[in-house]
Amino acid sequence: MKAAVNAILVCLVVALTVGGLLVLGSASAAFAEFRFKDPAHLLQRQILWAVIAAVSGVSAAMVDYHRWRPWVIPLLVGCAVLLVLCLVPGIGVRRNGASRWISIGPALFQPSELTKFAMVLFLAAWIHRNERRLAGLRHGIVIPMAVMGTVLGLVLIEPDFGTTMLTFAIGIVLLLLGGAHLGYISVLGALLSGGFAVIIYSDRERLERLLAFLHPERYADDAALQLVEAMRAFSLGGVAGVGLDNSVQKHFWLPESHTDFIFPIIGEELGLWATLAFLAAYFGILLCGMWIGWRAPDTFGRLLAWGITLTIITQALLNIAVVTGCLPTKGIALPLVSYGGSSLAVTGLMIGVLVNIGRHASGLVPDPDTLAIKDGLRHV
Amino acid sequence: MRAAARVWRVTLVMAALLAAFAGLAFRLTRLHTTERDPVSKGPVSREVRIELPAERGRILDRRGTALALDVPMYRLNANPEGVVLDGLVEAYTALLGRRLGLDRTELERRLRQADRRQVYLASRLTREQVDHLRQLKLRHIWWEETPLRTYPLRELACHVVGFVNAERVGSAGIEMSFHRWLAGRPGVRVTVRNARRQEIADQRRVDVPPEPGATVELTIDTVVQTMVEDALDEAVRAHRPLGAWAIVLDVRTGEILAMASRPAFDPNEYGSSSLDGHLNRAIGYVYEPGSTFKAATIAAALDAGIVRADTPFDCEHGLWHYRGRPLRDFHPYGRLTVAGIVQKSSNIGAAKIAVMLGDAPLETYLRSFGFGQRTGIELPGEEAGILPSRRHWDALTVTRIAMGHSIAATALQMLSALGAIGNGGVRMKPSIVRRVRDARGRVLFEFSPTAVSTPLRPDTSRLMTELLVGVTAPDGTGRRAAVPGYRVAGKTGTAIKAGVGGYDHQRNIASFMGLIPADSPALGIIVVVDEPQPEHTGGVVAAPVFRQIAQELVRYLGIPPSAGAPAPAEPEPTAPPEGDTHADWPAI
Repeated sequence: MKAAVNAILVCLVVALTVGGLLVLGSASAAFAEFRFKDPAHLLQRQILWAVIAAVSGVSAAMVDYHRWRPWVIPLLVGCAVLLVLCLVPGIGVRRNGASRWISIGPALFQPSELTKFAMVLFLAAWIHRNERRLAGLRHGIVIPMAVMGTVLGLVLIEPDFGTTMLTFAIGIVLLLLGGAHLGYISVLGALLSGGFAVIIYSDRERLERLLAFLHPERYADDAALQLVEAMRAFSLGGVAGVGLDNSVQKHFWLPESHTDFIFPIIGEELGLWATLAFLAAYFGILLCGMWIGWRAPDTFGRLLAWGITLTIITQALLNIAVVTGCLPTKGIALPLVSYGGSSLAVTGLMIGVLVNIGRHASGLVPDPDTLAIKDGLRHV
Repeated sequence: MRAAARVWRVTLVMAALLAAFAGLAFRLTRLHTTERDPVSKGPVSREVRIELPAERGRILDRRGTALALDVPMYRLNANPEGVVLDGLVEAYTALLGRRLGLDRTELERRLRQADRRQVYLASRLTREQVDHLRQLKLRHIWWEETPLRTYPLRELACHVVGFVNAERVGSAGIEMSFHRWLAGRPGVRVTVRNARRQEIADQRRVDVPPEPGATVELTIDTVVQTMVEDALDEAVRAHRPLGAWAIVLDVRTGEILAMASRPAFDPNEYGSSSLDGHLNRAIGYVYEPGSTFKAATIAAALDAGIVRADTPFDCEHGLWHYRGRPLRDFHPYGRLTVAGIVQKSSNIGAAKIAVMLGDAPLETYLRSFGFGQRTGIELPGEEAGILPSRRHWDALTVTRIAMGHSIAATALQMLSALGAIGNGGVRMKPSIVRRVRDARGRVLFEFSPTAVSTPLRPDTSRLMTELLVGVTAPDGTGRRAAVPGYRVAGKTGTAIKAGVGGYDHQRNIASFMGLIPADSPALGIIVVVDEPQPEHTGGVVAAPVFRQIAQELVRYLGIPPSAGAPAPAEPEPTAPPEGDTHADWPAI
């Protein structure tokens, strides 16, 4: 059982990735043909990224996760620098009105993806180090929130509203799981919700997008176009799907059908059973990740495992919620499936770290550092 | 943190996530199983049903000349949303305005409608223009083929051919009456398009090609039609009438070789012509025929044996009081035989003959001649004329009908009756369609001569024709209809039009109808001129038109001259025809 959890986790991840590549090959073909005169263009790049993700994941799985702890601050600072570079003309790349990318040779890198991981690392390390003081306001709320606010502020001004919100949410949940005072967490949650509400209401376009998902038919030509087409895709797919590569919606009807809106294409081509299977796979990853965290030998490993799991699962849930019209449209990719190299590589890396924690949790790694007694001693 | 506290915190988070998963699973099931479109509320479908227009069948004359045919044309569309987004409005306005000669203000207005994804820019583009545009590879611009109904001979036989409306539904003439055969069956294609309007390969579901319409061949001969229309146009120029119309009929078969009406219109631009011009007066204008009708009255009396050609009548020197009402002749005559009454067109003589014949036999004969009922020609808008039932006649009616008043007919009915006189007493059903063939060449309809009635015995037929020859003699009313070298049997008519409060002597309908050659009549021709100015008699106005048509026609059709007729001024045509259809007659 213990060893099986890691195997199940890896199988689920590989299945999702391979399934995602299959659908991506179909979903991106029309767009790639139109943009790059080669229907396989995006698929080839994504396969390349998948290899990079696999390599980084396997490497991370072999590295003792404790070795990440000294790198928490440098990684966080590095992320902040990269996020600033995104805003620098010439280095940063602006698309669709957002400066989220840095050009590295032939590819684009999205530092906000790495930032999620860095933030999880930081919080895991912070909670590990200050576990006993975490119920206090200062260590439980103020300092971690200040760090998060600083770094995520850089993400917000890109702007990348979705990632900011997501990462904040995960941060709060990690603080909750780490032992922060419930009252503080509640107040903080209320404050942040209020803050986001103010940001939403201060921007007419955001407000419109928010309203659009509530009444997709009313905004079908404009703000809710994507959502309406996504809903049509699910409906066209029905229970059995129209068959791989037979999607109609991917033919420019559904914008971003290979990135954020790939899930409706899965639904159209493979039907209800496939979308439920994808959902179940994410649920499986959640169970594996939570189990690993629960069994992790120390607080750092526990929070890191939970943080990684929650990052991946929350993204998946948000993405699916968005494309099914349960939440307003946000630019959140479907982990392991959507086209996007940075996301895939970082997700691979995080899964690798999770697997390593799993190895420790299963007792497969006889590392003295992971002994429970020693774990307890470190905090004395 | 105590393990117990950890347990419930983890449980809290897991419960929230589990709820989210369950909610999404439920939502996905709902979305996958609904068939209702979120916007249209109808079924969700990306299929488009495209109707593929069928090529409309051609209308040909008896020689194969096209009178109506489809020409491929193109309709230009644009997606203003894309044009505006790409900032191409000015460029496209200038380019299309220059290349296609379109109005730039209107063009720009249409291209600026950024909220629309399809506007129509121009129609009737030629293949060359479209090929040119194709080379330019313009974005957001596309075209669709729309066949354009074209009438290459324009006004020629416009009333017979008719026209199709903007929806390509036949709305007049043969286009209307044969619409179902001409239209063919449109094909249908059910396919799927991408959001850029291109068909997605391999997604075509249904593809039924259109079935082209059948070709309708008319009995009309465009050469004859041209002769008739030229002659009518000349008469219209000379007499400035309200209208003029003429028909050429093969009296032996009932085939109509020409049917023309003035004013006319160009069916290519039927919308911009007056509705008055759309009326096919040859079948749709009911008039009191006047003296031409005496041919029918007197033929009836002869056939009934009431009178003979040499039976004398007192024509009362131009004024006869019958039952207290005066009846006048145009020229006063004393004694005239029946032959003389025909030749001089005496009203009094004709009235006396009709009185002798009696109401009942006259009506029977007239109905047998086809008056008061449609001939059944394959054209829309035919009038039946007015022949009141004998029960509604008063004592004077018979004298009025005798001279072509108190009765109304169409020119086609008059000519059909004359045809019976010339065709051994057998009236043939007038027909204007010779053959209908579908796109694969199968014959769907073939004309065959049909006798409708036999109003006269053959000997009466011959006798009456001979009496009518007298009309074109040098002392007859129709002398101007005489054709050198040929014997012509005919009858003039000068009817007074009925106006408000009675007959108006200032307004006449002048007509002439005749048979040529009189010895064995082949052709019947009628010419009617409505309110000619300033001359008004059929002998002066219509007879010359008849002669002009007949003269050209006998040469064109190679009809041999009549023995004993006045010598022709020009050399005779050679090679007398054989066979009985005009197609066998050599064209000159």
